[in-house]
Amino acid sequence: MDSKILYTDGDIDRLARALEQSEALLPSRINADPENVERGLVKLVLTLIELLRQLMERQALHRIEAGSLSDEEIERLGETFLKLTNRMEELKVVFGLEGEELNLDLGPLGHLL
Amino acid sequence: MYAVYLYAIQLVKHGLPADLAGIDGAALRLVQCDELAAVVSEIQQAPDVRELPAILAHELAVETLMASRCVLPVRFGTVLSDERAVRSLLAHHELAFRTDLTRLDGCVELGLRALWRSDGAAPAPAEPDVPSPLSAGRRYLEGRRQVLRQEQHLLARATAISEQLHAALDPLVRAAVVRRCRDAQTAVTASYLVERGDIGSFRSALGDLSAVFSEVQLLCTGPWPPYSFVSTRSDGQ
Repeated sequence: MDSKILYTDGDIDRLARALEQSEALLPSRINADPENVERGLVKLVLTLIELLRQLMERQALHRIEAGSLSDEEIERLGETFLKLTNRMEELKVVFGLEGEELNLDLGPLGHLL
Repeated sequence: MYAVYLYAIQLVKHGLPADLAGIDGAALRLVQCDELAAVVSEIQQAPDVRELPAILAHELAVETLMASRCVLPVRFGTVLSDERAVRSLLAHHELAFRTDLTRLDGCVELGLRALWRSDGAAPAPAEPDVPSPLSAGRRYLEGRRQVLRQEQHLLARATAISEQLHAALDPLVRAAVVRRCRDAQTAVTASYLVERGDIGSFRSALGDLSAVFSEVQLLCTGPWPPYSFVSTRSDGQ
């Protein structure tokens, strides 16, 4: 194959490094082997929980910025989200999942998270 | 047991170039259904996305075909159980495949990335520190707020870049898929469907753009088979 670089105005090494990072974006599919199906399912469930967690967190931040929460409520929310995040990290370790794996490629809509 | 690996879909009348081999050096052949044909080879098991030789063999086969006819490139790793499944796929999507073959005739895909210059991805201007000491819960929320703010800042700048790209490049292309990114490396990634004859003007338009872009550097690759512009998503097994 010929060179596939049609145009660039940048430092080629840096561009190459950026492309290497994109390797992680290759679509990974849920493997339907009996031994792996459990992990696939866990991944899907954790992805959805992560989505909800992030949505709730954003909602909380909006409400804080809008000034509609008391100091005590902010404190409680902060602690709850902190615990949720820590718990999620523990679950990821237990199931051997990396942060980026908890995402879904929605095609033209981009990524879920 | 052997399965059938798919490379591309084309019209029967174009035949196959002589001596074109596929993954593991397997011979390519056509599986026909009326005027449509799938270019396939036999394979023992579906290749993994990390198998570089297999990826290169797939791409080489598709690009060799693309040089002499319009093909619909099939996504790497698509395997069907047997020829009957291939024929049924062709029959099932006949109209969509024929429409795509007409629409994509004479066109290639070009990939474009706009990457933040190392000094360009400057963080959003820092806000004055909230009086400390903060409790753990508050500190956590404050940290999250900063991260989201940074992401929004990057996204807003990426939006500006993608609008400039749109204004300069859209007159030269048949179709475009543009994605804004929120990470510190990449501002925008895009795929363009370009007529072969317009590749030169596309490239010089990029030269003009790079003269006005101070925040990003551009990397354009191709020509590629029009993977991003095939309308049918036919999943293998």
